[in-house]
Amino acid sequence: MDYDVVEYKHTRDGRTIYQASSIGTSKVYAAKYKIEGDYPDSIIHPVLGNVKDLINEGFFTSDQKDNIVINAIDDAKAMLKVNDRLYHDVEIIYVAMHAGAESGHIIITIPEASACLRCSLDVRSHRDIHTLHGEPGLAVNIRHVANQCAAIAFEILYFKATGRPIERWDIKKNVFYFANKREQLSPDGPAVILQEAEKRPGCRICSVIPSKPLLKDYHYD
Amino acid sequence: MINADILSTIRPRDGQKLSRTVFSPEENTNSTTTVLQMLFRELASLRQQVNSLALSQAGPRQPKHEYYSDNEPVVERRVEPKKMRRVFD
Repeated sequence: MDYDVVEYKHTRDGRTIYQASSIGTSKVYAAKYKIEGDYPDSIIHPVLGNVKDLINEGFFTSDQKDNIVINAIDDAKAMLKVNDRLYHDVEIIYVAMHAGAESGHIIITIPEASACLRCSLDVRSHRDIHTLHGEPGLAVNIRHVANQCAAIAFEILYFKATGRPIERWDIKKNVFYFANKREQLSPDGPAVILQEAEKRPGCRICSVIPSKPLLKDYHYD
Repeated sequence: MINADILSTIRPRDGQKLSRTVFSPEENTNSTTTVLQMLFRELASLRQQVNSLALSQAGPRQPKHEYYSDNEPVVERRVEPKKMRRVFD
């Protein structure tokens, strides 16, 4: 789901799946052709539109049984809208890179069980989140986080399809911080730091009495 | 044959026997193999002495590097949410 068109800046440095031949094509269709070409058994249903508008138009409904939502948007308003609208309905994985791609994060929200995006980032409004434009960064660092995101998504989907317990990580911990180099949080070198975000008291999104899926349903130890 | 079983048969150093063999070949068979056997035996004996000396002077064995230690305190690192608020996709 995207409304944008592939430009030259999206194809250089190998940081995205878009190829030079896709310049001028809408991103969703470029991605569809690329993925379906590489994996002939896959079927991509592209939706050309802005997530914010689609939510307003009721594109997502409570009856919709989406298995998982992966949010790779850096638009703060859209991100929080996805959180506010879909938190109670489906598992959402938010993936993003930080300055220089020297680190990145993945935040997983499980309906009613884990903290929502607002609580995980401890933000009140979209103004607290800043989008970086034209940020330099090595493709290998971006791919690392993207691959982890894919692995997490598959693990959750596999659980939902088969009931096999999630063992890859402690499901209580819903924030993955990826340090791609030595830094204060990882003084020895690249590392992944997992932690559990806490629900803020009185959060209008996630501080509600659990009624549907609980964390124990994920069979974590 | 000069092989491992000669080296594995570590005997005390016997320089006299070696000298006798080299300079008075009549006491033993006069063949190159025999001389070489004696030399290897000599080398094995020396090696054993050096090893024994080294072990007697060495302290308790320690690994070169301890990758993990149970005694080290586990540092719980906490990522501040504000570190994750400047993002790009």
